[in-house]
Amino acid sequence: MSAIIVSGLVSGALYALIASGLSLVWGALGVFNFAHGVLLMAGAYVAWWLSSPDGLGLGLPVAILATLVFLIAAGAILFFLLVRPWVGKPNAELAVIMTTIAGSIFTQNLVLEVFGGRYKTIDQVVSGTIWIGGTAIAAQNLLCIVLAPVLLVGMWILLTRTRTGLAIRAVAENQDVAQLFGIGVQRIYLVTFAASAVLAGLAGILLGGLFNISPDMGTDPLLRAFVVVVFGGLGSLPGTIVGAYSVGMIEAFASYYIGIYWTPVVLFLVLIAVLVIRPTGLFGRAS
Amino acid sequence: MLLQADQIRAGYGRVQVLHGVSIEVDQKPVGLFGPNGHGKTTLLRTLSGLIAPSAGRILYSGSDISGKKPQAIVEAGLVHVPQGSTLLPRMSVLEALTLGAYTRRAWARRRETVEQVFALFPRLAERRHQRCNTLSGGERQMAAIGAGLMGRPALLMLDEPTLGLAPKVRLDLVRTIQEIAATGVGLLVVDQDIDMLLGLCGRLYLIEQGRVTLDVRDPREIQHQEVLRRYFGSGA
Amino acid sequence: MNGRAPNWPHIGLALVVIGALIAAPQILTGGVAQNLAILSILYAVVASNWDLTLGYAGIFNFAHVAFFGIGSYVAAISTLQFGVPVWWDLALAVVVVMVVSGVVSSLALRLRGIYVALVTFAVTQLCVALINSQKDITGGPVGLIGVPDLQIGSLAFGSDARAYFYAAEILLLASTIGLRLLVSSNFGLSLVALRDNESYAVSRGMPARRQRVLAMIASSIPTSLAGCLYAHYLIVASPDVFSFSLTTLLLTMVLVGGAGTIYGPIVAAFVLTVGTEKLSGLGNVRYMVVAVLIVLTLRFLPGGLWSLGRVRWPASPAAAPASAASFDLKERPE
Repeated sequence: MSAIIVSGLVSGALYALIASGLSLVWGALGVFNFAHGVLLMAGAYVAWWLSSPDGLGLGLPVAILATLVFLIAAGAILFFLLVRPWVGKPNAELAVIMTTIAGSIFTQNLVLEVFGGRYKTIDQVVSGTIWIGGTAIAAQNLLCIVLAPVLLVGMWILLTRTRTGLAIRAVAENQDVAQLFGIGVQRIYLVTFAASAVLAGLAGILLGGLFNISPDMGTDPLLRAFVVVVFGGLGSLPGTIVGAYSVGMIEAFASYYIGIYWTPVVLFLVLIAVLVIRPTGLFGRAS
Repeated sequence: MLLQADQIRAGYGRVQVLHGVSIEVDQKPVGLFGPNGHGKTTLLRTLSGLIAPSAGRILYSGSDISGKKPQAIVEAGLVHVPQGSTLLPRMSVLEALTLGAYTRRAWARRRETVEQVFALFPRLAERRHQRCNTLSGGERQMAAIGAGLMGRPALLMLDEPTLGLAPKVRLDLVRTIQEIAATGVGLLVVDQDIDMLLGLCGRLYLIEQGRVTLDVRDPREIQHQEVLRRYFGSGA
Repeated sequence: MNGRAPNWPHIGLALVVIGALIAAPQILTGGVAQNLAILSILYAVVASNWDLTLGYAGIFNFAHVAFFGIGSYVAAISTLQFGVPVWWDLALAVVVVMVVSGVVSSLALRLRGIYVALVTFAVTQLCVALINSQKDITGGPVGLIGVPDLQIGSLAFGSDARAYFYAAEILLLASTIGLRLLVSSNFGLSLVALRDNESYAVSRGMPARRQRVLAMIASSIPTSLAGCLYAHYLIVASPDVFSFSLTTLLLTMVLVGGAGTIYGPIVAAFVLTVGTEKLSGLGNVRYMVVAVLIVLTLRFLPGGLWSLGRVRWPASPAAAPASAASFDLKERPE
């Protein structure tokens, strides 16, 4: 039982990191980034390549730092190429779905070409096992469980206490008003997008230490993130987080009791049930 | 001369709304009135940079700001408080006010400024941690004007500050606006309440069909009746 | 129509097209050319029907490829596992897909645009999950092999691929005529009205969700038949049919061809099927090219290739088609 809970917490933590990036971008830019899963994967691959002896062999700590820098750049490039030309236009939502799907395919195949399809693994950030209250938890799992809330709280602090964080929220509320406050909306877009890329990539690095790395490793987490944001409502960060842990837990219990093949079905049925009862998601707002 | 707009033409895409509007603002408050949909809000949005004028020139404290981005204009001290009830619904009063001081110039002094705003609007101080969408109509207007003041403006433009407010609330707000004017901040006020404008402003413009059709340089010399007659046509 | 002079350019064009349809299978008899032609036709059916919901009606529909895939799997499973006679499996596939599309769309379309995209996307992935999990029935990730041929009397279609060629052509013809009729009918006009100004259309009494659900169901019918033909022709049903890559390829056909034009995606289907075949030597780079194509089209030619031709073509009497540039996706009321 406790193993299931741990598994659920780990999944929930990762989904929270992934989905909150999506939610942030949705709030501030009004678009949905289908390439988010690919950012996760890119984070994992870059970290692998930088740290592994098969790559540059720089060791994990340096690799992680460098990867974070890479992710900011990657987020910026993605933003300029696939998002910015369409933001604010009437067809933005659908257009960006399609451009980011394209970006996703492009990057997946690029990685496939460059690195090949065979699975790789990153070193775990922390290894070993820790005993808590009679349960053995892999240290990396514990890291996920602890790190995610820390990052999320950090994000909350940034969004409520810093000038840029408040500006991001203002842009999400009302762009015109934000401009009248002197906020540079394009700059905020860029910052938000880069931040979401970092969150996705971090999740990728953590995931890479737990499971294998492959070019399509971002697809399943992204799909879970879809369920999370529909569950929790795209406009609401607290809703997204609650949704993430809920989905993580449901997944963990379903995997154990019903088996891994039926779990997607269960999730989907839960999704349908939520949609039938509350079409805007558990916490989402109509706009 | 604080602000000088010369022959401004502007609109939205193919729809031209302003057909050559010229106004001036100096130390005394200036009022804009006229029927809805005739360009008053469009003029403010052009002055604050949300819309680029297709013709004409805007001089602010001597420098040409026509076509500049809102960011630069606010940084220079020209602040536009837009029409409509709630600026930032899900943020708290304090957060909204803090954002009002976003510009570099104002950010450093925001703690000092927010105390001044709270002194002007004690009700806001009481409700500082409440979400803006839980405030009453009058309080929302106070918050909007307060946020504008947080930018430490040299010229504050208010779009329909008393719209939809109950008479008592309106009176209080008008009094506060007069206090603001007395502190030396320039004012450009758009409103339907002609009495308020006559009492507050040193100059009035009537805007109809995207043009200035009446330029009242000394409100003391004209009667309210005369303005009404002009505004609504004969038989008002 | 009544009392007007015959529209000679249109009639001439129709005759040319029909002539080409009859002649093509006789001309393209080489294995590769034939195969490409048949696949192009089937993809053209899928793409043009996807255009009805995605381009024309402006629905964020990402479940379309699932209708194709489900059609092929129903064909395979019913004939192989349950001994359903051929041709009856086509009817069964249509029924199954209509039910699925009806249920999915009536649930998903309760939501705002973006959520529709997410849910329909999830449906497609759910299909993959189900197929992978029910290995006994579906053959799992490997798929099912040995789907029986279609047969008329003693003619087994597999013995002469021209039979499949003609069958595919008939499907494309019927589907395109159907789509054209739909689009120029009041129903089609209502879809455009809903797409361009939903609040107004709803205020005039238009049942938004019902119209869209009907569009989804209508578009799923030829698509499921295309899936069946696909399975019978290839003798295989595999989960690849639900893959991201195929979705992207079909999406490119819709966009590059011209969203909302119906004909554009058909033309693009041929161009792209042949094109990706020519590029197959590049392997994975193929898909990178397709991806770049999507972004370039959206950026510089939102109306697709069809918008280039519209200047020279005689104006169609049907309602003004959408282009990706004119999707009006303002805040939709619940």
